[in-house]
Amino acid sequence: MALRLQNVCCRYGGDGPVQVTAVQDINLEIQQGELVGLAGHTGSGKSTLAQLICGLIAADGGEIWLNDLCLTARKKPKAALLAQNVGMVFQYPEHQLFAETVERELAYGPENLGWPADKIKEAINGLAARLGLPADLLQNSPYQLSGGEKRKVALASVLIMQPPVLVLDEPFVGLDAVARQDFLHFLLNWQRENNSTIICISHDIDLLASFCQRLLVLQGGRLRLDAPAREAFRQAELLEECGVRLPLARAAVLACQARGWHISPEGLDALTLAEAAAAIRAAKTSKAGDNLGR
Amino acid sequence: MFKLAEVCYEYPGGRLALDKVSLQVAHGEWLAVLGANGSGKSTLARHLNGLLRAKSGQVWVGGRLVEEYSNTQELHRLVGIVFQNPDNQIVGNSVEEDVAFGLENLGVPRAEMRRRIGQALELVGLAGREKVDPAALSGGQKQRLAIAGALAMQPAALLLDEATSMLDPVGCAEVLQVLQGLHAQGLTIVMITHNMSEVLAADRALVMAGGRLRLEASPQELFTHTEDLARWHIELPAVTQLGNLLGAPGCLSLEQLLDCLDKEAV
Repeated sequence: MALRLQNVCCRYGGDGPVQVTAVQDINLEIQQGELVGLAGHTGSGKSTLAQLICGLIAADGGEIWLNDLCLTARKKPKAALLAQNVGMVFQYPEHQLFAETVERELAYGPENLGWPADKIKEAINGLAARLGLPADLLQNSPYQLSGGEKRKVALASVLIMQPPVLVLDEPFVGLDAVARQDFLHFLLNWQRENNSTIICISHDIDLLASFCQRLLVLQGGRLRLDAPAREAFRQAELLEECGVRLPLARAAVLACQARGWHISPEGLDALTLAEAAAAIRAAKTSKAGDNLGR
Repeated sequence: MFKLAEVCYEYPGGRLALDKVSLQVAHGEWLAVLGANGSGKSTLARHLNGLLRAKSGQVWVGGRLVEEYSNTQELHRLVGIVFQNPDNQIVGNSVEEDVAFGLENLGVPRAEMRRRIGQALELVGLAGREKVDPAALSGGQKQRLAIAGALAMQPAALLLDEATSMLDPVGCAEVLQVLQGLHAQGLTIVMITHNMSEVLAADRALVMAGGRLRLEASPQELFTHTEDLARWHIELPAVTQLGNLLGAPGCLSLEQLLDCLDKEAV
């Protein structure tokens, strides 16, 4: 198992007069190699949960286990140990970039772990090439980069540590269509090669539906839904209640069904546009046949 | 409202971000600007309120060349800008303090300031939240607050640089609704976006690639240029993609697609 949360609670506001409960009573187990989508309305607790999992903020109650590390133990795991177990790419990549050059940025983590210089250089060059970051860009300031390039550098600075668990907060925002697909393909290949666990927060429900095996939905800090993706997207009413819309593919087949089209039970589970098109095409053929036979 | 003639802009290091861009935006028009990462969209927007100055070519704002404005403050007052991350542009400890920030810098008298704050918050649907800490607002509310800060300066135009990209669907809808209201009152809007469904709210859309304007069209016509858009890394709205897979091109809503399919199946 990669991750286990038991009765986890987190409140903001400390001992002050105004306290906000950001997440409460979260119970969750995630296996190594799972691709998990995390959805919910703004303010539902997604980013807080992500930061708890990464040990960036402390829980006010409950237990969080990351492999053999207990993040909620009285004696906190050392940062270097934590960084080798979990990596997080933030919503705004510029929030995690600080070095003078891209190369220094990528070297920061491995240097703190005491990697030899040649191993660090090899890892930087390899990752930069795989992510499509040109070699001359390594000497630029991260702040001179485009939004898409910053996102790649932020991801590379985390991946270089090869953490088995990766938490991504809105990783596709601001990327154009091709960059988004390239980024997704890279992530999925990485996940396959390393059997990484990926937890991806996104408002882009069509994109989550296209690759996530499992969907978690938060509302008001509580885990309202935790199910395999296809099963989760069958719960239209619950999703709507939580402010999460259906993927267009599923909304389309349901709308066809509501108009009296005979969509097959498998077709109703469509999560991608290709699946929806196939289901609607089959229903259309059957409807045309019905009309001819009338 | 805006006119650009043969505008070129090169960033330090030699990257040509705008390459002979010529463009006119009428008063009260809503223009959507689309393009891949690095296509020059944000650079274009920053020329419209004087944050960047053209290396060659000319830019007119409100009928005057930008060089004729005595200072950039005057330009910023005329053309407001809202960025992707509202947290980067919210500075006040309360909603009303935040809206007051720009006005205080301009030395607007207190009574006038109060009137404008009230009016701006009313326009974005945050009236009654004056004393609230901006940190306690949702993403959509924060972005509406950022818009109110720009509106209090009584601009003739509003630039939005991917202003809804971080918001959930509810937050996006809130901001879009506010923009539609402002547009109906005559505000000029230039909106940079990757969200294709937002483009449909605009009067006109233009596509940039490699620092050049490649295509200008109505939102309805835009998405019929399937091959060109793919070449410029612009994704069709999901419903249009589904329509194309089903042999019903040009559909911009699920309702429209289903009507089209229903007719075909009869």
